[in-house]
Amino acid sequence: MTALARRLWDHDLAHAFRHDPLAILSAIVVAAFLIAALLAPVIVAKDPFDLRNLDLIESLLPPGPGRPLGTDDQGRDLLAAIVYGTRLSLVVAVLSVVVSLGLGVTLGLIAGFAGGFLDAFIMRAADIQLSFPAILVALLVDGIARAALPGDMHARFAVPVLIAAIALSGWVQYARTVRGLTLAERSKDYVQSARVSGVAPARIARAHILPNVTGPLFVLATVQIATAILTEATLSFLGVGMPPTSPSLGTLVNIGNNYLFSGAWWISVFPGLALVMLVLAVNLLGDWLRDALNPRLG
Amino acid sequence: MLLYLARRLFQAVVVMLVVSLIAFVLFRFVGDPVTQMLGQDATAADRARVAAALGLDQPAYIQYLRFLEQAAHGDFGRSLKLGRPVAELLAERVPATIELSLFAAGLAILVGVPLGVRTAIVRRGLVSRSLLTLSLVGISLPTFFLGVLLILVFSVTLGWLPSYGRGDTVALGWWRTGFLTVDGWRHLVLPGITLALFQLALVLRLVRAEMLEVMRTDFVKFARARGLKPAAVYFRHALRNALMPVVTIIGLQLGSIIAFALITETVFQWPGMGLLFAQSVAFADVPVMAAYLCLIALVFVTINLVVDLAYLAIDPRLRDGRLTTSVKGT
Repeated sequence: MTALARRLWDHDLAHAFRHDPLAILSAIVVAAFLIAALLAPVIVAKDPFDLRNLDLIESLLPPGPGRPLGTDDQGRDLLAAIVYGTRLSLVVAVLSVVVSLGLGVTLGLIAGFAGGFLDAFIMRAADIQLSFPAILVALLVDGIARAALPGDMHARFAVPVLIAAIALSGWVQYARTVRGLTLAERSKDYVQSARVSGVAPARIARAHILPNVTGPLFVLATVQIATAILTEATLSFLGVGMPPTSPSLGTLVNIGNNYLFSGAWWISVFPGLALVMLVLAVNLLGDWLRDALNPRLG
Repeated sequence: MLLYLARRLFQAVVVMLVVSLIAFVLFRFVGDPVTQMLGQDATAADRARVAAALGLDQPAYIQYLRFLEQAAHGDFGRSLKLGRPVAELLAERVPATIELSLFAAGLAILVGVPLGVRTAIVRRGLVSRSLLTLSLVGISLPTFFLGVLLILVFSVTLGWLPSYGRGDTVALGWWRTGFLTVDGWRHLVLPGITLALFQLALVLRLVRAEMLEVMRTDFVKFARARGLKPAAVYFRHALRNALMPVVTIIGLQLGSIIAFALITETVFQWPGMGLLFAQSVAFADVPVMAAYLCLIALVFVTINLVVDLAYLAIDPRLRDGRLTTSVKGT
């Protein structure tokens, strides 16, 4: 165990990390958000999403003793709502990146390894999608799901719909990267020899090529998590993401937007600041990781 | 070169066909047009009659061709929520979005380029460093949150500027402009800044990076060695060559400004196409979604095409097809 810890401590990446204060700071911020999100039920006494805990008499109270960030229009403690909102935002963002990664990697591997018609078809589709901003694609997927599901079903399926919408708007990046790397790997000796030994193409792609293209994907996925958090927040702000009954950070900003002129600024400002901090920290960490893993880009 | 032009045009047409196919599938299969017209309680006979009148009993490909024909005439049916022709709704709202986008793009260029040049020339000063940090904040700040903060400061707290709608407009034919009234300009300030800030930060960083790149090249060093004044080196040599990629990116960004306008429009209730689209998604108003999709695709395809053709006009190396691969990447 100590040997492993020793090796981790001496690793190039760990060394670079210890000498970059900004990276350490971002990591601390991200870790704080992760811990808060994971331990939400432990940290927060009352579940803000449980309707029985809501008390309208306590609504729209400014920050003060016992409610450090004030309360929202439903009488939810804003700090509790932010902790639970972060949890939702992170779950949606991470799952959508996982789905997006799976989809993109599969299609990219197929395109790069099979070539020919499949390659042309997949990459054309990617090009077309890439010429539209991700937020439009996500909005469209959300709109289609909304039109296809009956009215009352939509609130229940808000999380899967959001994940699908964000995942479908982000797969292209992975597909392009994996395809490019696969094309480079395909002609190398180890792939040729696997081919000659009669290994099935699908197995070559999965067991031989995939492990050799994962490095850049890791960096891309980190950056994409920040993008996914932002997309989720934007959709929720536009009123087509998480419903007000289980608000994410974006939903909270949207709720607060209606109360700006009645002086209740805290409902929008605190969740928004939490969002900015989270996104900025993940972005900085992603940038640092990219530079650390690839010194040539620095 | 003609071959390249033809191929590029062909690609544009294919993109439009694919998008229109998605819009058609959305229009025909996701939203049920018959139920939309008759409501849930219609009899089977009524439904069959309306379906026949709409041509819904025809094979799908014939319906698609009809959809294409109608779309080409600007006919996308009626909005489910507002009950008015979609084309009419969009036409009303196009000027608002275009004016907001132009204002934001102008602001981003007029402020972003000079600041980018400054940070490239004076690399270490306090002002340059703060500008760079601010631009990082500008890129990380979500558009909608920036809008909320601006409203909070300038409308709620200080009461200087309005936060809602377009204000007074003047009709020039069917185009209602807010550029000709003081009230219109006052309403434009906050949404304009909200939409522009991200682009401004992008332009600033891009101009800086390109300038630094060009200033390292031999011909700039040589210009300095010839004893030219620094201003001449910076502006006549460095900036000129740095602007080429910047112009491309700004051209391509124009499309995303129009798309991102939908967030800004929602924050400020700006009566543009984006607000209409965001509302149509919330209400599952399929005809509006389909029409917006086709319209925005047309905008993007046109911009991409123009940028590619502009490349062709500016860079003679592309004309004999030697470098077509580098163009394909854009």
